[in-house]
Amino acid sequence: MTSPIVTTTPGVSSDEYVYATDLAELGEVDPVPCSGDHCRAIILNTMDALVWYPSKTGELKEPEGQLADTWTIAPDGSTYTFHIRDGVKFWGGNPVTAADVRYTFQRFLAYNNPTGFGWLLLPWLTGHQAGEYIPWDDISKAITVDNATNRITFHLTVPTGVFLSNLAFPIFGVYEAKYAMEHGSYIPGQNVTGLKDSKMSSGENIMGSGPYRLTELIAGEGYVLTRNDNYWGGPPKIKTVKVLYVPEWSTRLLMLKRGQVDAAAVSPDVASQVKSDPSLKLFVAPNSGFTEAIFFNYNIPVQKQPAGTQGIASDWFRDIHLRRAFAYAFPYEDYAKQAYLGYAPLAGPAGWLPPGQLGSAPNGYPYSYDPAKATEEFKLAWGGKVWENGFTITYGYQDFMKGPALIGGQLYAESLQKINPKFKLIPALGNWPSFFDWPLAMAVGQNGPDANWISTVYGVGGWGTSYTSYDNDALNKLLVQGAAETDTAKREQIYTDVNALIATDLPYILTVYWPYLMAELPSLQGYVYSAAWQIQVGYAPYISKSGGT
Amino acid sequence: MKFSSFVIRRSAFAIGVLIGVSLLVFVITRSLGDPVTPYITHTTPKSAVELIRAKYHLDEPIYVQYAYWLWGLLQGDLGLSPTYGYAPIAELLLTYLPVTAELGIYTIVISVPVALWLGTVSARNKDKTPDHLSRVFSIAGWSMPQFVMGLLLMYVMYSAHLLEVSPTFNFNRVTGMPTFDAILAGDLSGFVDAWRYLIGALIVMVWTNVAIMARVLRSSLIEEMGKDYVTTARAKGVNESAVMIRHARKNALISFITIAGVSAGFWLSGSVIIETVFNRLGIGLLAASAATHYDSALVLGFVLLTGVIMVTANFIADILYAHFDPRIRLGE
Repeated sequence: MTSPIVTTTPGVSSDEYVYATDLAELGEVDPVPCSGDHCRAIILNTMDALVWYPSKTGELKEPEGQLADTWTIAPDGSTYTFHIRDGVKFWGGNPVTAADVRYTFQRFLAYNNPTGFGWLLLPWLTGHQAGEYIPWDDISKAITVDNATNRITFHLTVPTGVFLSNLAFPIFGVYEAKYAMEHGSYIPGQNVTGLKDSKMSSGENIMGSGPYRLTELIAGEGYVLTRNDNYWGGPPKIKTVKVLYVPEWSTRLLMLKRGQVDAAAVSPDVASQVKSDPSLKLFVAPNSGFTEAIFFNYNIPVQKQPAGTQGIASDWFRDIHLRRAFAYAFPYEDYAKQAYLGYAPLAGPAGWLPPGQLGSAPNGYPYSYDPAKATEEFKLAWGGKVWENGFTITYGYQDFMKGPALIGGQLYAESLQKINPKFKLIPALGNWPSFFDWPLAMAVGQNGPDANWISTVYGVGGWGTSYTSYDNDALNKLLVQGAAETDTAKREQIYTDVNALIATDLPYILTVYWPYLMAELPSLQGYVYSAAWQIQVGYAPYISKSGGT
Repeated sequence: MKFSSFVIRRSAFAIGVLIGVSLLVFVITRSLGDPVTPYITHTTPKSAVELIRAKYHLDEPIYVQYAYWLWGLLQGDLGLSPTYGYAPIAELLLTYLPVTAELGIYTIVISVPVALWLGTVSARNKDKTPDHLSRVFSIAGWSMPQFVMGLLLMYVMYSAHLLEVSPTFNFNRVTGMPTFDAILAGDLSGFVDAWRYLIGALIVMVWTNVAIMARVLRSSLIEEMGKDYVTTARAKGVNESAVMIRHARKNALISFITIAGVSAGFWLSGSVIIETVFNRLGIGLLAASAATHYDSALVLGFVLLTGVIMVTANFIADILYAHFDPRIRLGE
């Protein structure tokens, strides 16, 4: 294999799309353990799924068929049956069948890798949790095929209305069963829980049917996708897609200016360099698919707090006045301006789910910066003791959010000090998940493409509540109902009630929707960022170039 | 002491050093933060986190965890790197090492003779123009941060197409070092491209290292030139050039070898700054990525590799000491 990957030609040619990324996690293609941006990008562009979010203009609507041209859902949501489109072939020439789709999903269940997104299916398909061994009987019963009609049926143990949306997440790309098995991958029936398939990880054993195929992957350096000229949906305009890892922003900028790449990842703090350069364009997606929040810890391990912590108890945040006080004390607009230079829209008032999405609420988060109200609430918190005694607490954040989170922490600390000099907030860098041991932790979570993603943060079993110990029975019941309901209008009402409850109970402080920024050459056309995909490089078949060399 | 005994003794010592260093780094990396972090994502439920912890033995006492790691190492298994998509760490290190080694080799090959020459010229022309020029060169080299030097070179040379940051090569990867692979393939234009990929980083490395080594040699030489045996040599009619090069410089080389030996170890271990600025995906960058992602397994693999490199560099330095100074015997 030649190395490194990308062209030296001064100026990228018009049938090539080159993207310079700042994300290092290149090296895993197997959909089963995949969690990062790059493996999802490779899956989206090289393996068709049953259903997907086309997001042609970045919008989030209902999932549409990709490999599946029609499907039926039982009224109670207990079975989903898909017909596989006729005439679709894998790159090698064999037709895509329901049996291949079954194999793809059986691998998810058999490996049950907790780092991947298999949990999007597990609780409903089998009732099992991520990481658990799933007996072969349960796997084989969960997915059946009718080879004669080329149909596949998913039999849910727990009916749900979100299954279709979950299937559309860019992880469940389909690959050829025969090719994989002949080259040493999983044989149905094997117990492979917790194991790794290195040939799938490298992409060697993946025979997809997508518009591109992976022709080169060097862990940590980059990858190359080459056009599938026989793609059933019509061959894309761009022949070659190259993604290369360029960690340094100034290098990415130079490469853009010289035309050596078409697009590059940008952080808000350097976006002005792109805006002021007439040879470049700044692309901004106001919602990258993530909502940022400051999480209250409802069961603070007091003994694990840093030295100097005082004025708190393990159930400190169970007092609604205290939570409201902290919510009113956060300087949302200043934070968004300073940390994100105006590129990140405030998450209030719509709430966790962004405007325009099912489940978004006009008043989902009715808190804004109001020191007077904060003072009022602090004086009521814990019968006035908080106001009297003050506190010193830690506010944690992770390294990858360092810039904005530190700014947020500093602004928050100043705001609290102004309200009462006895209130001390100390921003501290921590890592996942141990920084949740601190009373406050800033983190981000996915906000779509379906409303049910809110459960990952507010519902029982989700990462949000498992780390913060937040629990609200009424909210849990509503979230479970929302996930089970298949009627859109009824779901809408359920999530309206969910948002009303969240607004009253204030589990966390919502700050902004995370934006996605990219610098691009004006010749790049058709690039779309979708919150449903959450990938930097985009869907290459939409992309074309004007002019070029 | 016989050379074979020297090698055996030093090898045993090296193994001890490597175990000690790896244990220290293991304890530090496992103690700072939660070692499960690189293996999970923010959507991993807490119950699954505990399963992952058990799978990688992260819930065991630290000495048990180290024992598992050491046992894996003895079988050639350094573990997997979650940061790089669970790629085998040994494979990652071997993929990234050649790029670093290439820069390190050229740095040694160029820096050492240039520093020798410059240090000698400076000492011979003490407080004269060549010495002053050398001083300016050295001060510029060691006072300017490498990333500043690198960025300046990038802006100037990259814009002038004298430098590349992400080239394609049409020859096969044999050594993983593009300049050498181009030579093996007989590809002249590939060789030129490979040099354009290398030159910026090489200028920074050579400049900063020559700056230090030349000054060290100059000081040592001036000191030697003031000694009695030099006066005696002059009195015997030996010309100044011969006095300096054949007599004084040999003795002055001890300090020079010390600096060069230690530096060579660092050059071959990778410079994060140089590799980041010039987009050279070497082990320095790999290690930095591992550290920021709390990928302790990859950090340990890197530490082990650099430990081997440093031990080897010191070993070679010891042999050179004995060669240049007969008063120093191997093992004494």
